[in-house]
Amino acid sequence: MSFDALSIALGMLGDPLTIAIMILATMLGIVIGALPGLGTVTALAMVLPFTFVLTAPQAIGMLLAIYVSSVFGGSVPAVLINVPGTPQSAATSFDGYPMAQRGRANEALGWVTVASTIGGIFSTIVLIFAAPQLAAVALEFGSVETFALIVFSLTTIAWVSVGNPVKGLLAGIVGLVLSSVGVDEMSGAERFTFGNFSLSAGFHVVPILIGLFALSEVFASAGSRLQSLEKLKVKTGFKVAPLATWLSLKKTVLRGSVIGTFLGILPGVGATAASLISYAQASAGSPNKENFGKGEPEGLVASETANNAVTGGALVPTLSLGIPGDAATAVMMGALIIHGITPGVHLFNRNPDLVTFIFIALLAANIMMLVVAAFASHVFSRVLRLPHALIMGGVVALSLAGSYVIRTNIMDVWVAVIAGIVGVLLRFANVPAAPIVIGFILGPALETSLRQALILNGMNPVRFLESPIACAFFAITLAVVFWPLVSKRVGRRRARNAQERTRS
Amino acid sequence: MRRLANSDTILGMAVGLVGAVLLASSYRQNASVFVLPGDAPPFLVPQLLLYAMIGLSLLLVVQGLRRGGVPAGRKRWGAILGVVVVLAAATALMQTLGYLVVGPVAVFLTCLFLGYRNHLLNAAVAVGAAGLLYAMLTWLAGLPLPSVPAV
Repeated sequence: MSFDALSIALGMLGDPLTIAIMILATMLGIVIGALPGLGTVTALAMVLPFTFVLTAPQAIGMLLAIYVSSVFGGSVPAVLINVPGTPQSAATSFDGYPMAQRGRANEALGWVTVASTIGGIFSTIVLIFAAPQLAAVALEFGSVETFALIVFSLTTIAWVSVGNPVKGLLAGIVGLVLSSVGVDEMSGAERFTFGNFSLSAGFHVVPILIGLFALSEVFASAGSRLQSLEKLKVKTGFKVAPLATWLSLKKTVLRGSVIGTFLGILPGVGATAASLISYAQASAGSPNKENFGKGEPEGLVASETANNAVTGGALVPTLSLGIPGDAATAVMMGALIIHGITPGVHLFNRNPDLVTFIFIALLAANIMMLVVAAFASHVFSRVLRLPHALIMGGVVALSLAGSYVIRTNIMDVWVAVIAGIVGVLLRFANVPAAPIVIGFILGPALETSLRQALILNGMNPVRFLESPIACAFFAITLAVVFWPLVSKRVGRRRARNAQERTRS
Repeated sequence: MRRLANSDTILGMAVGLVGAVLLASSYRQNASVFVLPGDAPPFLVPQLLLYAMIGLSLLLVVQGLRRGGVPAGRKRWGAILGVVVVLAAATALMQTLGYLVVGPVAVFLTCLFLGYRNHLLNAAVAVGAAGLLYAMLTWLAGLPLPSVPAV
């Protein structure tokens, strides 16, 4: 990034109209991200026609602001009403909702917003300094390496199933099986549709999320009348934790940002997996692991840094190779091409001013998100001052509409209702719902990469070990799975030795 | 008998049964799929997962027999069933009557089942929430929700 390019880019961003458009786009992105069933891709697609009448910098600024803020927007309802606005925010609801239910909605929104901003800025810095180099690393990831990465990601299930690993694993496998329903993309064969045409497209993650998290909460509230009539004594607004508290979580912040950025670079993995993996890693390494799922700030930080760090990461292959990392960056790439900018290896040489503007605008979009979200939190968090029953009524309206609009298919609403019934029964039986979501989200990537890897290696899975990257991931997976058992045994032996020593 | 019928054994048996039915169905469907030599069959991964699912559900049944399940506690099952019926009816009628009719009624009845008795505020929230969502999704986002009949 040269000084000339930087000054030109700053000049483009300094245009008051560009800034106004970006602020409006940030507001719109937060609202759209907060509505279940819409999400980042819909938000980008909605504003795409408006970009035709804008200049290239205005259009890029608008799309980047929408991209960044809609990823964050999904976390607001996840925290306040246990309805993840986007699948990326599923892990945020694990600790955000319990924290808000304890009357600390202002703190929860503060953690979420600042963590999202840090994750976004971290990944932008990585994008600025290492985009071409990281894009080259991403090219090393074939189907075997992706399979090994997804297997490692599935260890997340173990960390969100504290208390009863059998139930957690079973729930995870149920999620994986659910993801296989519908027409198989590789062969065209119908799987578990039982002749029902509506099932051919498979289940969508949004109705499952709505059912398992939101509607199960409505049913559970109906089961306890006292709770449903109470008004929460909630602190509204926006509260940022002191710097010392943030510094104590620096490891989690860094790990979440690195996981998000790296998984953003890899095509097809995405922000949902990133936030779940980051959450699991934080839970595994935290001294407060027993507080995870009960309103632990570290859980919120882990999830949010990772899902927003994906924004910068996903732009790495998009800008430097012309390969969009996910559907959202594909829409962004389309918009860039419409404005005469062709992403790819030559973009950095031919359009240094515009590339620098993208970097600067992405940083600005993250800062605008922080400011807008800080103000908006005062409005959002007031929702919790309503009686719980009325909030649940709102959740019903949101669930019916959100699950329908995702594919304008009534089957999705049925799926949400059934998932809600299953979710509340599982809740009563102490079965965690999170592994079902993790399994469902990672299922398609796991299956596709495994089958592609098997075909490429003559149906011989032993040949997967010829890849050093895959070997490294398999080794980490084994270590993660067996470490708790080993450490337990070592602990017991140490305690026994200590006892013997005190006796003698 | 009490030892046999607890949350874990019932859950384990139910999931195991579903797994067995799906596994049998997968073998039946797999027989009618043409797979090229050297290709990974479409039911390979689901079948592996279903075997694991059946194994884990058996483990859960054994666990339930050994340790017992989770106590049911005192729940207002009638209210839960009421909300389930409201949502099922709303889903069944949504395309016929439209979201603008079904949505507010579902919200109002849910709040009623949850024990909320300020009917005026309840009705206002029901109409307001459903109306606002309808307006945002259909007019702002351009996404179609089932409209009121004949509109």
